[in-house]
Amino acid sequence: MTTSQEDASETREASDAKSDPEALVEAFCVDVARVEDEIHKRIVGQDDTLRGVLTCLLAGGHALLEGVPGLGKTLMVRTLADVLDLRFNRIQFTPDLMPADIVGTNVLTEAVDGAHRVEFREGPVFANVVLADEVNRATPKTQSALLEVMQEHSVTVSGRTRKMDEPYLVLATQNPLEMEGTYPLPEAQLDRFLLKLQVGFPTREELHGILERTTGAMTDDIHAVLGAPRILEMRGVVREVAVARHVRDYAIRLLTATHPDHPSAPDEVRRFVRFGASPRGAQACLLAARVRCLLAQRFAVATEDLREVMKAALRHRLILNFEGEAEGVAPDDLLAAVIEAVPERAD
Amino acid sequence: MPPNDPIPSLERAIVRVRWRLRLRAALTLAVRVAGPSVALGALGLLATHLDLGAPVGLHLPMESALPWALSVALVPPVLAALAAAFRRRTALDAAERLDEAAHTASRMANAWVFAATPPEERSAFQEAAIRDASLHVERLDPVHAAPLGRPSGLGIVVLALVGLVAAASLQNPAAPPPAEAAAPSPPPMLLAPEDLQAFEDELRERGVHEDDPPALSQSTRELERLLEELRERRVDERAALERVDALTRSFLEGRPADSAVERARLARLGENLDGASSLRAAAQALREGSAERAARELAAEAERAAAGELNRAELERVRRALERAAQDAGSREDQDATRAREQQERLLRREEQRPSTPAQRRLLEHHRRELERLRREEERAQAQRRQLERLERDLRDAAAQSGSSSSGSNSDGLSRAAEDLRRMGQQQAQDERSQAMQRQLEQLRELLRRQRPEGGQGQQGGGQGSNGAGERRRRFSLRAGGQPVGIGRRPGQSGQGGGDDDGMGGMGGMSGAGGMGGAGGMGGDGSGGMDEGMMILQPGSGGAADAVLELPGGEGTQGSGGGQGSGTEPGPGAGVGHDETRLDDPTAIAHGLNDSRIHGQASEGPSRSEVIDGAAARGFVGQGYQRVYGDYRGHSEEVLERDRVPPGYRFYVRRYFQLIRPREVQP
Repeated sequence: MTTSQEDASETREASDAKSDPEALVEAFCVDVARVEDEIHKRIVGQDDTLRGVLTCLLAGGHALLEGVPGLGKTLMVRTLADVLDLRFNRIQFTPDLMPADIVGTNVLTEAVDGAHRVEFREGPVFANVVLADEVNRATPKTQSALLEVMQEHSVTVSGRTRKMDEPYLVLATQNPLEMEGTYPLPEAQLDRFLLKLQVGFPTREELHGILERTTGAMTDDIHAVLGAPRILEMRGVVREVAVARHVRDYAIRLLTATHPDHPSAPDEVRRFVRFGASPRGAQACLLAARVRCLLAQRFAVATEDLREVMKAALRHRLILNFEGEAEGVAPDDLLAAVIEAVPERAD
Repeated sequence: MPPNDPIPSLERAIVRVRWRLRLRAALTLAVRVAGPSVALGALGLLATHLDLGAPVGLHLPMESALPWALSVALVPPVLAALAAAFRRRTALDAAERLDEAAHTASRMANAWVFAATPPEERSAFQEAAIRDASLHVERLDPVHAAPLGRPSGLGIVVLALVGLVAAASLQNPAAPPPAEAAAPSPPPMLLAPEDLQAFEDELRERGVHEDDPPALSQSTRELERLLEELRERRVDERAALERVDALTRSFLEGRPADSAVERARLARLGENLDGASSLRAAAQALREGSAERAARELAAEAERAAAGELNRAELERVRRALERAAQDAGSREDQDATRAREQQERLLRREEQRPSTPAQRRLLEHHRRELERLRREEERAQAQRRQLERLERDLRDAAAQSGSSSSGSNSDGLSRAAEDLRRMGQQQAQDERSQAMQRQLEQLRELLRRQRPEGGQGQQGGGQGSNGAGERRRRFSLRAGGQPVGIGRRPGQSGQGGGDDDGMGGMGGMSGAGGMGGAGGMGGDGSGGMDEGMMILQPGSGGAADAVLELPGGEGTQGSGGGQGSGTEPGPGAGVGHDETRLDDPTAIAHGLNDSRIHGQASEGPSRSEVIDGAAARGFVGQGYQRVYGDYRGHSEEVLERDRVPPGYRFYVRRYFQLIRPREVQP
């Protein structure tokens, strides 16, 4: 059975079980497990990073991956595109990259009959999965070209707006070590990433696997296990997950505690943070928590889901002040203080 | 908010958790409050047992304190426990605790919230969440969700309870007998023993005479009782002042008027009698104001006249002198008293017609008292006038009889005049005793008033009288070179050296005998230590320390050096030297020395300045000093009565003379 046939059968099964949350959740988990299994055929370890990328895919957001070169970020994204049977484009950001280079431009073409026409030639952003490699190497002007497509899933060139195919996912990578010749991402653009994932160094066992796979015989038998329709259905399931008011209230209290001028903010936040997370951060927390809830085969978001996804969803939304920058304060430490300071039960 | 689709097991678990939460909160808060409250109750009981509130007048018996202490210890924890137990606790809170304890990832809390939503409004996922929760209900554990552990601070509460029980058990064995507990503490010593002794000495010296008026006798006895009670600390300051005031009031009501006018009349009478040499002694006594002595002299003269010892020329001089005296004695000085009384009555009537204000009423009362005094004065003057009129008649008779040749009739007239003078002398002595009594009462009241605490110094010290005033008096005595008041006699040092020098500055003791307390060396520098509150009344001379009288309000710095105490009792040990003047065996106990009598030379004794010079060093003893003191004190009293001396300073002058009064020689 080909991938298309498999997708069709799964779609039918999903429609039959539409009114059955238990079945929906079970199918959701099965599909995610299949994707992860397939990716792990090529990627060793990086479970959290992979789970974060999938969370962004299923929640309808974008991910920013940060890590030193050589950790497999690009390979992971490429493999994900292969597994999902989605159109994939990679953009290597450089300082001389222009906005038109990524969104596309109108070019003058000559037809067979000699007539000249202006045609829009799509940039690399026109894909389902876009890898913006080393995104902080481009100028802010070029980086800003991603703003519209990331938020609106559309591109406007010469007054004409062109929609992207869904699902649309931007996965950007950046190197934290190379500060020379890089341009920090604007806060507005950072805010558009659902999660910022820290790609950690593999463990010793993972390194054994990496070396074995990459230096041995080429056995690349990756198959696409999910198509775009199924992904869109799964996104719908994510939106169906129930959230009780007290859980939502907990998310709000976590968010407000990141603001230094809020009474519930811990001392660390008051000292090192200039601006706290925006409401988009609470949205990101809740969306990511829904995905995590489903992956735990539950039907309503728990407070622990929020705590688990909070760092990835908010670490790039905290703007440190001069003292925080000077002291090299890690946003994850601040968020840990926030989690500790905010009680789960509101009095 | 009760669930519309309740999960029975979850609901039961939530109810259990809520009760356990209430119980835990009640225990925690009760223990937290019980620590301080029980400790406070125990301390209260302990303070009551030790009667720590007595200094501030707070006294509570243990029987009454125990319920209060138990209330303080137990009521706050109970109230705190009730408040904590009935504090509102939501079911959602209990459900979240159940989730936390059972690691059910908010399933119970979510289910409880979704179950509260009407079924038609629930989403499929909410229904699924409720069903999912019901699958995990079996895992719920209310005991772990709301554990009832031992509250922190329980050990402190137990210790405090032990302390409370111990303090409560103190009451029976430690409680003093009711009679002893009710016995008031003796009042502090209001007067120093030295002051009391001075008052008693003066009373004893004045004594109670048979011919004294009843008011004076009664006041004297009452004052003796008061002094005795003050010595035995049986009366406090307030009661003492009240008794002195009452004594003064009752005494003033029966007190005769001032005898100054009478003394003036007697002095004028003495000047008129001075013409005859045989009446000179009587005249001198009259000039000195001593009617009794004049009466004795006049009676002796009458006996001489009856015995025919006077010649005719002398009798003629006596007759002329008696005639002059009789003419002058008829003057009417008592009219001044009548005029003063009439003037005071007019003033009083005018004051009574004015509007009555508090100040006016006080002034009116003052005028009434003054009028009463003037009436007594007038009555007294009239009585004196009658006495003088009788004396005048007797003197005229004596003068008329002296013109005749009959010495017997002449002596009768003189005898009657002497009898008149004797009666006047008795009256005069009564008046002087009354005035002395009045002065003593005023001085006692002023002294009691000044014994009040000054500048934070209380009247503590009990029998030693070592309060501020007593300390000042002691310093005064030290500077004056006298014996330290209130310290007692210090035994002399053991004899040392050559037998003629034992004790400090000894006067030469016997060989081998215990040292006699020396009279003390002279103060080297007694002039220091003066400030604004001091008044030098008499400078010391010849090495004696300056006599400095301190006024209240300032503590003088202690003078360097100064006088020293002088012991008069035998020292504790035997001397180690011997008398080098002895001719026989100096160590022999039984000896046969040749006694020899040395006759001193008769002289007039030391001069007045010499007596004053050494009085302080000798401790104000001796006949000479007693005579000088009497003269000076009498003079000071005259000046105080005659001149315009500020009332406050009268006290100090009299106090000074009280402090330097003659002492008896110590045995």
